[in-house]
Amino acid sequence: MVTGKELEGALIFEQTMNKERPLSPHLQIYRLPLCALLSIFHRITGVILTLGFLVFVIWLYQLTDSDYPKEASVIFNGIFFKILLLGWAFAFFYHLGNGLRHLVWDAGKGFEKSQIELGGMIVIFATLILTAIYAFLVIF
Amino acid sequence: MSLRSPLSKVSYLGSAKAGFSHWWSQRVSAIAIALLGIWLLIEIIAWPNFSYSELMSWFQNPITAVLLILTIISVAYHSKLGIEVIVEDYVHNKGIKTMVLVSSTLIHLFLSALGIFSVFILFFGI
Repeated sequence: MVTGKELEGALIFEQTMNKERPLSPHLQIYRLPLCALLSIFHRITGVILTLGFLVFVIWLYQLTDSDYPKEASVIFNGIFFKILLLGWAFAFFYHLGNGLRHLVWDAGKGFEKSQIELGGMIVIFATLILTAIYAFLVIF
Repeated sequence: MSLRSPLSKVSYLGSAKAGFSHWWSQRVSAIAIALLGIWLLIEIIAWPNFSYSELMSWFQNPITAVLLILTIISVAYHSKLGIEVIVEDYVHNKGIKTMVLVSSTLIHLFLSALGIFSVFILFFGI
């Protein structure tokens, strides 16, 4: 005979223990530290640059086509080209900066928490400054 | 003495002794791209002001052609290595993973061949 108390206990067990609980590292609710965000951004910019390589090669091939309209080089003056170029330059500068950070780590240096935070901030600021300079050079 | 179990050995688990080479190649190509990429970005700044014939004469400079070919080789190689790591991390189905990795290798090979050949054509003005 199941008593009321036992039934209640089983219900509580069902409600609390048997639920699908979030598993470590709680990616949906966990605020990623700067270093982790920069790491995933390194991969994202890497994929963006791979797509840039694809477009670059297709463009090189198109130029070899003698039917390619001669005025098509005008597209380099287009805003569309410049936006794409700046997007890829941004991805390149970030990937370059964070890549250099990886080389420093490969040399076995810079693993203190404060150094990791500082390195990350330097990469962010360097990316923004280099992209701004490059945008200035491309636009003017 | 190996601490690995006989089962892991016969099922080809564990290190294939190729990890270091992958890591090192990625670093060497990264340094090449750091230099070549900056060169290319600086060169591209001038493009919007180029006429078609100016762009063609840019391609007919031997240094440009050589650096472009080196850029294509190192970028294709570095990209292939990087995509490999991402696919290995996020694609868990063995069949799909193998298929994506083989496709990625072949596409990278094709793109580098197409790019290098195009640079040759542009250089010789064929």
